[in-house]
Amino acid sequence: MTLSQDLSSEVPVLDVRNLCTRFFTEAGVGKAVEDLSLCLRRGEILGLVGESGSGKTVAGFSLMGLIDPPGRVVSGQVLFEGVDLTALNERALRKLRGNRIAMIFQDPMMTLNPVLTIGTQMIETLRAHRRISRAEAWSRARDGLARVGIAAPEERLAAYPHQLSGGMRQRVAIAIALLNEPSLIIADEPTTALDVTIQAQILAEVQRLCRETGTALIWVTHDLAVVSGLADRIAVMYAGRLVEEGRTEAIIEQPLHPYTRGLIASVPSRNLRGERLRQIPGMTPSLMSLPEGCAFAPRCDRASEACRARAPVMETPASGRMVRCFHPLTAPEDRS
Amino acid sequence: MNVHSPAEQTDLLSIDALSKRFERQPGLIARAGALVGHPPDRRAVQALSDITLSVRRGEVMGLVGESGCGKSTLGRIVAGITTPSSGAVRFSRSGRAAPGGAQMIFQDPFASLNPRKRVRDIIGEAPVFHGLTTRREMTAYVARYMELCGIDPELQDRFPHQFSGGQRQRIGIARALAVEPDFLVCDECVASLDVSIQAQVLNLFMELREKLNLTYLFISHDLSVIEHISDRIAVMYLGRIVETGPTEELVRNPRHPYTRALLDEMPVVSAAPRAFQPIRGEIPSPLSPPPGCHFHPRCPRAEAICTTNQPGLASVGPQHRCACHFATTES
Repeated sequence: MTLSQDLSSEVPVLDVRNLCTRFFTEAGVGKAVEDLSLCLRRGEILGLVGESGSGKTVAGFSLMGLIDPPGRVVSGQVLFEGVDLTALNERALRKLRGNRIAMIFQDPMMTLNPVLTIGTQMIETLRAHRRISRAEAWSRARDGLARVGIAAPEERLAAYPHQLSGGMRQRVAIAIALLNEPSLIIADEPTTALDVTIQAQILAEVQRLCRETGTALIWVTHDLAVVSGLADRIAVMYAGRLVEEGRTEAIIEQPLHPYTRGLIASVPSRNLRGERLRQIPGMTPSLMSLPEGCAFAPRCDRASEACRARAPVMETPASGRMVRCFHPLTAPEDRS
Repeated sequence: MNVHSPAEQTDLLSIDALSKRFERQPGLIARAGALVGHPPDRRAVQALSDITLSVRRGEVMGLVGESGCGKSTLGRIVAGITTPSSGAVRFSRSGRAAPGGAQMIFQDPFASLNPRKRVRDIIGEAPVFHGLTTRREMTAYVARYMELCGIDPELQDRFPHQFSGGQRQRIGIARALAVEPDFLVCDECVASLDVSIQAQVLNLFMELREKLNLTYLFISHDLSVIEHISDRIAVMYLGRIVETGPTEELVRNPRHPYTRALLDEMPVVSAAPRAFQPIRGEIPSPLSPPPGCHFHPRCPRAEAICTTNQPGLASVGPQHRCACHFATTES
């Protein structure tokens, strides 16, 4: 975390400005991502947190230019090391993906090719982006597996994905993502399908690798508890919009947005055992029919006429904090 | 705290030396192979071995463990969906037996509701069958249970796909309650829900327990959920119970290295980056579990004895039992 402070003057790895992604379906227009702005520095870990339907996965895919019709990035910029990805053609994007930007998905069984060995897939990833010999690619692939804590990497290179356990497959996916030493990794719910003890192993590896290699990481997840222990900063999404963003300790200790507060308070470990859990009433709105004004207003105990009439914009009330709310929480007594 | 120390300390459920083996039936090719001298794969999954557990009336027993530990199999045997290979499951009901007996609430509210039936029939069919209501009075009967579970009774004519995940789980709960059970097996029933919805459903479980004097076997991989809702906890690893005790005692004073690891690695909302210190190794395949204590290949305290001798559950405190050779010696 000191790394990001030291290097605050340099060009950010990723600078997203007012990104909007919409899905044009027969049932109407789905505003999956609205007015998303993010900034990520070298070696920084950002947790992008949201519940199902909050647009967090679409946001991650939009950054990579992976949105398929009927979806489309309709406006905004994704500046990756100063280059606007939304302006690049497919050919140029392919050069970046798997090379400078890598992605890790929730289910590695779906992303690894079941009929190719791990080694073949790793060598392919390497040789797609640089001119190296097969032998050199092989030894790099072996080192890559060893780096993510896989024992007996030579044997694993000859194995097929189905021969590995879920945790091991996810390690392979991470090793592949790291192969070309990317400056940005987008990880979409990468530990959700894993058991607690295996999840902890993966988190430990990822945390170490990001510190060592200076790779910036966006960790997309629904699980605030997982990401709070990992990320330097947290961005909270609700109904397609970023509602709050800031340093992890600030977000957790003093959330400004009522939704963030509700999310933190409803985690069982934040409640007294056996007591009623603090819950957020109602449910998340459909992205196809968002309410007028603030999308959280129908579930919010602080909502006023203004909230229902127009949508708040992202503001910066405190240094380094951003919140999209007309009535942000301020004093500690507000957070009871 | 609403830890019930029920005046009636009777066991509602007692599980005695329960084991379950899943054996592979040799298929045509395997049998043909046997004829030409290829012995068939005789490996069997020992899903549960020698489980002894009791649940008192009005209590929430939390069952926690990772994939393949047998917690769901145990839940299904208790609910009467699967038969055990050996051992016994006994419900002791004094007076009028609950018509519904033990009911189960499933993990996936999308797969466990018939998509072609209306909510009224999903909830009402079983009670009509059991004679708790009649077809004519079904609408009112179903409405009562929908209200109890926080679903608008006006929506009886809808189909499951017209509801959100949280609402569907409430329908699943209403269906289970409609046959007036006294025991509920909840298998990962909040795992697929978002945090804010999960809190709503957990609160519903706690309310229902008060209102209907229910007893739960609450199964989850998520220790934070189990810790919140349970009066007692049983920790399982590869088909065996490795530790069991009252929640407070078990969480504050875990004796088994596996329980300790689960507690240490439980994701908690923290304001600062954590130093993850995971236990090493993978969960072994239940097809070929390691000898002795199943946990020894991953255990930081393992010694020679652990590789050969299986530790039994031994008392380490009031109601607190642990299956570890070193449970009584301080670490």
